[in-house]
Amino acid sequence: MGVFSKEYTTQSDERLMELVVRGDERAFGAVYDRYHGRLLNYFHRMLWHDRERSKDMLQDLFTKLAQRPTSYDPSRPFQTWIFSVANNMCKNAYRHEVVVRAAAVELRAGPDRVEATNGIGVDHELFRDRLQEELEKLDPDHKATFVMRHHEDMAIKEIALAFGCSEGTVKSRLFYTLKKLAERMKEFNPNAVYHGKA
Amino acid sequence: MERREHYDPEDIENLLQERSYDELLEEERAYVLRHISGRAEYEAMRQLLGQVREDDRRREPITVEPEIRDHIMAAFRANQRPQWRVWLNSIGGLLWPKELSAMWKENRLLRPALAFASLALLIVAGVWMIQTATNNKESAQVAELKKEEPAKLKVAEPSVPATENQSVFEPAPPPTQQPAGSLKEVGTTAGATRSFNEVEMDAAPVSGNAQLLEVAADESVAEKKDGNLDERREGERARAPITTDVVTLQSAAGATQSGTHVVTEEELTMNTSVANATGKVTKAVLKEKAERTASVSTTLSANPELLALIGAGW
Repeated sequence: MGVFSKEYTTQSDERLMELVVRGDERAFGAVYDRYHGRLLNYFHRMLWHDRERSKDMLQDLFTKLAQRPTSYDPSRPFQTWIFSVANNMCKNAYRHEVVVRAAAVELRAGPDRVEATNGIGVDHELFRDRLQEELEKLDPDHKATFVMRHHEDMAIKEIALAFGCSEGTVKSRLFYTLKKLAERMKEFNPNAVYHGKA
Repeated sequence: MERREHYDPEDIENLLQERSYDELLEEERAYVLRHISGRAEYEAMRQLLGQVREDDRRREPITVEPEIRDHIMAAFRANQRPQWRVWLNSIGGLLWPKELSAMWKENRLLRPALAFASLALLIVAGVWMIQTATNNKESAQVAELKKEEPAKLKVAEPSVPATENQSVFEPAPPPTQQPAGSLKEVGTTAGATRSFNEVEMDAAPVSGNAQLLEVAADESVAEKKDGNLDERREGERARAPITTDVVTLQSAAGATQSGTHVVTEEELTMNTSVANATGKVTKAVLKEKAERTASVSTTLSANPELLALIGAGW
């Protein structure tokens, strides 16, 4: 594609970032348009469903990218790179607000257990709150892995690149996180039939 | 069997998404049971996974205000502009490296020398430029004052003797008769005014030339008495030589201007008094002087004293 006929929407992330590094404002706008929604939702899930804080984090992330576009490592896929940056920002937020988070968890402890509704639809609001509560109890890396995998639909390989670890590590984290959550939230399983070992 | 070999403990996720416990093949079930306690746990995990996906679909995406995009794009634009700060930082890094010891290392000996030499050069150049600018300003002011003083002398003094010589040039009044011959005489008057410039050097010939003019005037009066010419022609002819005088005087003044001779007060008095005889001459000379002074400096044109003198009829 020629220089003068840039179809920004069809360009790959990496190509767009090349243009951004050269100062192409439209390319930067295309990158923002492509990722701001996903990143905002990621921040929202990772940061205690705090909308305002999520927006602030999103703005911080893209402002940093605007000020230092060369910080992007072209050898890595942009998606994994941007999510790893976002994840690091979340970790920093956790470190600074461990106490606040603990207090928030206690405050949100509300309905601890929900009666299983056999055969009937689960109260999604309750499920959502409870899932969030349990996710926040997890190790940040495990939580981030779970969110990336099951909310952002990222591939195992991409998550591994984002965390800088092996795919096996990612799979292991996902498996044990899911197992732990299922154990803690089994009351939400309408088909829970405990037969013991098959 | 081949498929089972591909399974890792973490790959149960795929089975959870695809099949219920009852749908698992024997090999798959055996594999699952190595990591999961049994059907209940498998189904709980499967259920949870489905609920998470379902919840994710139901969740309304969060939107961002367009202002945030504007701010981010503004930050990008601002970052693209050339910044002096970068340049200044590099200069600062050159002049004062972060590691002070680096300034004295042998392999970087040139760096501090160059840096401090550049700094010293900048300071010296700056001081010199400031001083030069100040001196130029002062010398310009002094030059204006010096040229202003002689102008005042030339303009201020000569008003007194004007009446004396006015009588010399008084024959100009209207009824003057000047025959053709008398024009030549007046031409000699012009010649006399040529000597008027010489008079500037020596006042003595002025009286002689004035006498010549007087004689010419007397002759014209005598001819008038004869009544040979009508009054109209007489007026024209009477004005003609005076105009010539003005021109010659102006050119004479120009000649004086180009010369190196310094006019004394006496000469100036004499000249001005002669010039005052016509009035026009005075104005012409003053105009020449004013132009001369204006060409030297524009600030003299704004000199209130000079303007006052000119306004008073000089």
